[in-house]
Amino acid sequence: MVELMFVANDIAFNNFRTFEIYGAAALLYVLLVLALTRALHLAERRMARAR
Amino acid sequence: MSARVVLESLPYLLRGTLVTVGLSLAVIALGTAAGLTLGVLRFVPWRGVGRGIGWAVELVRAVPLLLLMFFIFFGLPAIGVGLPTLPAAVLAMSLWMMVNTAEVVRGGIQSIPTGQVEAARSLGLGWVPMMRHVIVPQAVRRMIPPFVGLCTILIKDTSLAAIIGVFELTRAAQETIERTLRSFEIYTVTAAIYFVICFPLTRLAQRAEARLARPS
Repeated sequence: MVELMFVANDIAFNNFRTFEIYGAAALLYVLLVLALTRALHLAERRMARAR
Repeated sequence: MSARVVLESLPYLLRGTLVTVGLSLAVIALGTAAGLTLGVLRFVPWRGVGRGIGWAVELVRAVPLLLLMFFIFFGLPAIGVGLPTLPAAVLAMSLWMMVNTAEVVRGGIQSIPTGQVEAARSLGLGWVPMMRHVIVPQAVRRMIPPFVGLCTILIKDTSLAAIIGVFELTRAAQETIERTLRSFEIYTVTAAIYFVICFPLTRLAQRAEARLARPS
């Protein structure tokens, strides 16, 4: 399946810029997780208020 | 299902199992020691330290273990820090174990009622004695079930080390399949070996949970 890790591997093995590519992939994962965490916190707060 | 293939492959798979167990023990020892320290340091009364550690933990936890492993094994040599497969796997998994243990420690400490902290302070205890004699002993009991769960996950995740070329159980299984072409039998035996390693730990966690649920 073509997902973030697959694409990162593909690019890294083509241009041998492993440090930069895996670093960028890690950053994308961090951003994804932080955004999701933030969204869940907001939802939690909204639900607590509604109660 | 060919029993002969399974019996012939078993010694090779058990060699891989030994590496899996050794790798898991090394990572659990290193990751737990570092994670405990990090988790407790998160509560030091110095401004900024706890927050900095919290951010660092969140950053590492957000990155998948596989990517962490690739970054250390393939990425670091690009800046002149090359590591052989086994140390790279140990480092990546220890980092993962460290941040997750730090989270377990944080959860355990935060679950202790603030009245305990106030009681310790009213007795004149400083931060270190308060942690050592009041908070941590109570928190450790609550940390055991999630920590055992973490160890189980880690043992199963050691299979990721096969991708960067570490010879462990999954790698041994892959090599055996390449030789015998008996994927069903070999993967079944491999799964059974992982089960035998992890099941006692799961039972241990259940027992610990049951014991903690009992009123003291």
